[in-house]
Amino acid sequence: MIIEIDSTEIIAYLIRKKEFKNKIEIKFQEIRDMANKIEGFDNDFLVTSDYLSIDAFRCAFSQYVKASEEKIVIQNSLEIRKRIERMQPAKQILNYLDKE
Amino acid sequence: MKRILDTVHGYIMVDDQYITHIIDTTLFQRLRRIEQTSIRAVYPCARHDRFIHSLGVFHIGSMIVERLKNIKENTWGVDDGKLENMFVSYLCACLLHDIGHAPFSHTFEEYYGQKTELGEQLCSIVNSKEFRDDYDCTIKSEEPNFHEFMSAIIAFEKFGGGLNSIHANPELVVRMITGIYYNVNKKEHQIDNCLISLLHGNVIDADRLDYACRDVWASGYSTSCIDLKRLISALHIKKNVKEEFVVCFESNSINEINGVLNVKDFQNKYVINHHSVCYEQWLLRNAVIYMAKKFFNEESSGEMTVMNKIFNKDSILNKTEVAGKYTICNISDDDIIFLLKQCDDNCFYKEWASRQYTRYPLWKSKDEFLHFFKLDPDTDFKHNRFRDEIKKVIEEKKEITDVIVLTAEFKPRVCLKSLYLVVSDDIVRYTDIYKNSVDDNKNITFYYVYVSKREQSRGDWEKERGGLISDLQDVIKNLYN
Repeated sequence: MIIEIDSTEIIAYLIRKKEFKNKIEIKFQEIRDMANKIEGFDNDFLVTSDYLSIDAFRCAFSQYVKASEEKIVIQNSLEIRKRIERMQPAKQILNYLDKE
Repeated sequence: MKRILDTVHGYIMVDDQYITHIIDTTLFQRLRRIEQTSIRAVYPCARHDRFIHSLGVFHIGSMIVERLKNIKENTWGVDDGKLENMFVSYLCACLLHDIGHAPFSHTFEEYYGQKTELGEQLCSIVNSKEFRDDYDCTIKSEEPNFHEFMSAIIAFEKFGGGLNSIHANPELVVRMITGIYYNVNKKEHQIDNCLISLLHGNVIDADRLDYACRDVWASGYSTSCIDLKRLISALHIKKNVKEEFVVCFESNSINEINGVLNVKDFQNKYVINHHSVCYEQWLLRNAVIYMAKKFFNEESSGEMTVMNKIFNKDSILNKTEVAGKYTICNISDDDIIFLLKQCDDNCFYKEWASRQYTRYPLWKSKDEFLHFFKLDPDTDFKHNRFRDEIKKVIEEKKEITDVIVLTAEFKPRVCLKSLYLVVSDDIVRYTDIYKNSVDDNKNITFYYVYVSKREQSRGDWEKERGGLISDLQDVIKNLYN
């Protein structure tokens, strides 16, 4: 089954992986590398990783997220933990990622 | 010069060079048989296609070029010959921007393959280090969509010779189709970048302007009306505070700009994500998957593997053989319907073709959903467990196994920060004036749940629907509390 995700789910995954620390910095390149890795797991996984989808994440949490030219910074991510948990990628993708 | 009569724009005037090298070709004419939208389930009049849309984009592109020629300033720093070549490239890109479109609007385009593969293909055919470096920078801007990759590949490979002969730049055409801006050498290519944004921008461009007008006209729904002449007459290319040339609009055209944003917003909320449109697309997609797995004898293969045998570059450019007995050539909507008709036991196709839906939605809109479950309208509904949790409850409590959960996603993909206004001779960002709009790019996710009608009268399934909604109260509360 085709599963399409974008940077919003990747960022949510990376925040969870970084254990909801108070200040989390994620470089755009880290998001792109993760997108390429996910596409490499299975050709049914389709990923969009660009500034517009990163910005969509910022808009969803505008009080907690700042975006610059190269990275986004998430502050106090514990306060948005519930919503971040809901945004995790589909379990078929998580199965691969969590094995790593 | 040819005149083509269009119900939306009136006469579209096309120079012979575009007719000879682009329009009167099999690949461009193929677009006559590719529907523009997937909304005919709800708006049966919306029978317009990618052919007339491409001509409409060319028409708006011509209006933009005329406007830019009238306001041309020496300070742009581009000589007349080069600028003329850029304009020709822009008009070619307007015509070719959908040349690689898959059948049935956007329903099947992702089967062209993963974006990493498509990007790699495109970079290798363009074969320029600068292009590859700029492609790698799309993480800082907008990644092309599946059909844009395919359109760019076909434009470069199959129309490259014709583009060169009319002094268009094939690489610039590819950049305009995909929105791959000059980044590494952006100082030398500021006007090229402005023209790229006028076909592939984040807010106002020729493509968006045509479909905003055409989809509204063809479907008949009422929403904002856009005065194109007014909007384009307010267009400028000027230097911003960073001394970079940018596309900008006089602030007194703000009404038209908001009109374009409203149309897109309306279409996403009420048309593209209508419960019937979502369900019909699901039916059609499953009908084709079923047919493809059967014909290629690959029941156990992954979806992409089997569907990519039908939706690929070869089936657009040449021929693809299906099941050893059917040949598809220059694939279009008709070919898909033909193939579906060859398969007698395809229940998805039968349901799609007859419109005798076997399932009904538990709620028909977000408003109904909010009303039934008393949720805050600002709730973020995206939830990776929604599907499983809902299915579990319905299957356990009602023993209905055939539950379909479809995601209706509204991704604005607008960057209002990139929109500039001319206010009293100053060039300012739209978001500097309308500060809240900086957060307008939020994705909105919503879910529809469809359950089988079984042998029931309408009254019976309305009653059952009420019962199911009661059964779901607890699980919805748990999901969103």
